[in-house]
Amino acid sequence: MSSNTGPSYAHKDSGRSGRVHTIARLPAVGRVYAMGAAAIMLALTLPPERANQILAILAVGFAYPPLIYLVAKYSGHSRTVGYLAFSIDGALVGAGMALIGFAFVPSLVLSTMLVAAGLVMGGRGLLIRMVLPAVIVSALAWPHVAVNFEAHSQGLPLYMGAGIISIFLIYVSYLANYTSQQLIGAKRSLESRNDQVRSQANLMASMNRVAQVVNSTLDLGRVMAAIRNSLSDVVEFDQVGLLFVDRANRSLTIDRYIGTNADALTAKLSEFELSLDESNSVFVLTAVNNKPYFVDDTEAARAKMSPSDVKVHDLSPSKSLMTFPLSIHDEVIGVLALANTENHVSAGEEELNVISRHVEFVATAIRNARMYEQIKSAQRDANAANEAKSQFLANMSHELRTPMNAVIGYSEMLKEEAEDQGAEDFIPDLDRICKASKHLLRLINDVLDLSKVEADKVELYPEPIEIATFIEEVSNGVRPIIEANGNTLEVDTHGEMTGIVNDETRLRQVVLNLLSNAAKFTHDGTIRLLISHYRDKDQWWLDISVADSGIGMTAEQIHQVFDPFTQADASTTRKYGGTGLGLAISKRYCELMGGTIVVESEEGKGSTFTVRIPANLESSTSDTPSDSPGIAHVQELPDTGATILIIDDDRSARDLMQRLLVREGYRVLTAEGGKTGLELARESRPDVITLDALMPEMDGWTVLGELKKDPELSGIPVVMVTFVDEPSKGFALGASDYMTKPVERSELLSILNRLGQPEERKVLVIEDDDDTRELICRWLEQEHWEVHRAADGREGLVQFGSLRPAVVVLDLMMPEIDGFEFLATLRTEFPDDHSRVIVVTAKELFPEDLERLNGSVERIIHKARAPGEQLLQEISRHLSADRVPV
Amino acid sequence: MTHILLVEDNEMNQNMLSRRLKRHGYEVEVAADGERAIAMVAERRPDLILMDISLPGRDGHDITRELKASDLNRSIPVIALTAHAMKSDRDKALAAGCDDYDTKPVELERLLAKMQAALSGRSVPS
Repeated sequence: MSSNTGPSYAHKDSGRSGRVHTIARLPAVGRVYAMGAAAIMLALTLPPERANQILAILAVGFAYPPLIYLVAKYSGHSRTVGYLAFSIDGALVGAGMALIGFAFVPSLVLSTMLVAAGLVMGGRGLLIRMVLPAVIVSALAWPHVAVNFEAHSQGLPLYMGAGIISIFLIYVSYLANYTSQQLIGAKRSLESRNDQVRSQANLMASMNRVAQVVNSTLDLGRVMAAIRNSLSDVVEFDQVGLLFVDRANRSLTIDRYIGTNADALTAKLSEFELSLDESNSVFVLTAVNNKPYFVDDTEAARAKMSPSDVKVHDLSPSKSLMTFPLSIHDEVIGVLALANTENHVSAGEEELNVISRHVEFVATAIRNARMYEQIKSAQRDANAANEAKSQFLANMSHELRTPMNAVIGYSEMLKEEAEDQGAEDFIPDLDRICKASKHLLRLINDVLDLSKVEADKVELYPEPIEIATFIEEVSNGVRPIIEANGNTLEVDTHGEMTGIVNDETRLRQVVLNLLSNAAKFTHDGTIRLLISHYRDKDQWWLDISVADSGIGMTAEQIHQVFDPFTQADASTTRKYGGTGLGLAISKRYCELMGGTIVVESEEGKGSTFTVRIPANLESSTSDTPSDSPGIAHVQELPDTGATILIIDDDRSARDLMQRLLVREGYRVLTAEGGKTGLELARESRPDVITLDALMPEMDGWTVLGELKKDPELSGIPVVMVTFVDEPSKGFALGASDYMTKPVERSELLSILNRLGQPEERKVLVIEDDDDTRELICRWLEQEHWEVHRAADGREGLVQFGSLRPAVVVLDLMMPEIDGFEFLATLRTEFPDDHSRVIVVTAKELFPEDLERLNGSVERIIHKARAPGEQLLQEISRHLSADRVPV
Repeated sequence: MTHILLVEDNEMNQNMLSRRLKRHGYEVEVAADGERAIAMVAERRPDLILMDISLPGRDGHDITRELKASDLNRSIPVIALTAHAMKSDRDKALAAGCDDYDTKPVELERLLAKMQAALSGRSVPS
């Protein structure tokens, strides 16, 4: 009997009114009888002249057992007293044997009782606790008593001893019999539960097969065939028909039949419509009432059938017919008809239930197929629109610039000629035309730039940038406008300006824009351009900030400053010029480069715009580091970043996620289909996979199934990222998380952040007591651990091998393989494993136990010393502390 | 006087650019398409060619390639002019053998600087 088989910490071991611990309660009655009998036997063994000793023996024999029980009960330490009592038992037996000079027969009886009681009550540990005191007391007494083995081996003591032994043996036999009866009973109840579980499992397996088909295909015919096969164990059908509800025409149309006479039926009934008003048709009833119908004998029912039902029946006579409504979100979209054309079938409530649950899959399959069609067509439209838009942009770019060329050219020329010919009157007007046409050209350019970014048509051309030259160029370019307002430009750099690779043209456009803005809004002030190159979180960054001492902005203006066409106010355009698009374009470019642009400003004090972009665009946007030798930071990939595999057939979705994740320091791999995705997953073992559901050829559900089937890949967490809103299906197939498109940036990042370090949060709880295990597991789940359970050491080892958890919470006393053995196997089979083991036990640990655990566990938490809540807190406190294994 | 060949199909641009260049002391002749341009190069031996890229028939890249393939004409600098303002357009022009590249609408100061540079045997960054 292990003291560890219950949630012991739940047995509060304190308080006078508390329950008495098992170790004190169970042996109490036995102790009364055994000690009483032993006392009488000893009393009879001693000669009458040793009356004092006889009285003392009887007093102790009868008073000690109830007394020790009372002490256990009221001391508040019943467990400790309970264990102590066994040692006292041993000491008393030793003393008794010494008193009778170790007379052979009574001594034999006493020692046998002692050993048997120890073994029956608690095994080796308890035996030692009992026998050791007896041996010690005997050994101490040996030199002081007259040892006489022969004495008192006859007569009453002999009979009494024999009697006690017989009674004791009968009692032990009774115990053994009782225990085996209990075991047999338990075995029977387990077997019957096993049968139940097996039939449930069969049903689940069959549902699973259908689910696999539903998930792997959008072909309704295949889904229906799978259901017919899968149901053959339950009820035999040879024909399955699918009817759709047409709400506009208030009718039911027959989509298809499979099975017996299927082709003939489908062909003949293709134009057939059943009005929803034909209220005695079994198909209409099914759809209208949203419940299944069962006609066990269709021949007999023919007389009462509606005209349409008769028509269907006569085309392919069936013996029995079952109809089920198909509904999506509580709306009936169709009817599934199952027919047997050969035999009558019988079906009860249970069969109908099973079939209904299979039929739900058809509804799901229909929904998937419809949604897929919708999305595909929306995608086609969107692609076509996008294509038209970019074609339009390309044409417009050329068509607008050509006439502008002439307008600007001629007005400039006229101005020059007017100057030459001294026609001074014309010059101011020609000047205005020049300025306006140049403004118009800038506006056209900006609008085109912005449209290109918005249409996702801008491609970056990263090239190594010489920052000194870059600064010289932008300063020269902006000098005239800076000086025009009496400003001065200060330039400063920070850090080693090497290894910078970016789209120089676009970056120059951004910086020029910021500088000319600053110049426009500042008078007789200072404009500072500061460029810094630095490393942060495994990535090199380039910060470019432009600070001015100009008019600044109000909070309201700051809020809108990057929006297109919303300059500080309408008069700004008139007063300061510009198109109002520069900052909007700059912001889009920075984002495209994987960076940001922010502004700090105070009205009247000036503004500071800061661009923050990855210094090396090549190393942060491509999967493979560039091998150009001139660039120093190519290898400076974030080496701690988790690898994410994106599987999605939609290029723009893939690019979007890739850009977002690369910016966050993840390594990103992409695959445009299920097959490539699986290959990549096998090759590169990503830390997390994001998976689209609707893809041509091999869809996401199938990919997910394949991933989870492969023992080498099944451990990789998969996040479904899809338009299809069916999280339960995703989770049922083993997805770790589920997101619906469009992807919310912060949500994706938090999910990946959590799954990206799966080892960190995996915990295996090995505990044989169901209640305790559940309690610990639930607590850990609340603390956001990924919890796995095992009921004994054997199961624990199996799970450990496949999970490789970061933490193991281990009970020591378990059936089959106990905690000690588990640890020993763990350390030999996985020598390089660094998982942390926390022992939670009710076992009183002896030095030799500690010796065995030494070096293998991080912490031992005693259930009795940290009862209830405290235990959980202890575990979680310990887990959250970032310690290394001892 | 420096002799410029302007290859340009748009009449308005022909007129405008040639007039402006003449005002800056250049002698300008115009070819309206590629075939004409090749013939005029052989005949008139210009000091520099301004080449529009979008031409009817063979485009400016094509003409430039042909001119640069001939030992006789290779030394005549060619500046491409195009309304396409993408970086890839510049790359394409340079790949075809143009010595420099400028965008339309022409910013005369910038074009004049590029022409000066090309004539003196070096190019300036665009």
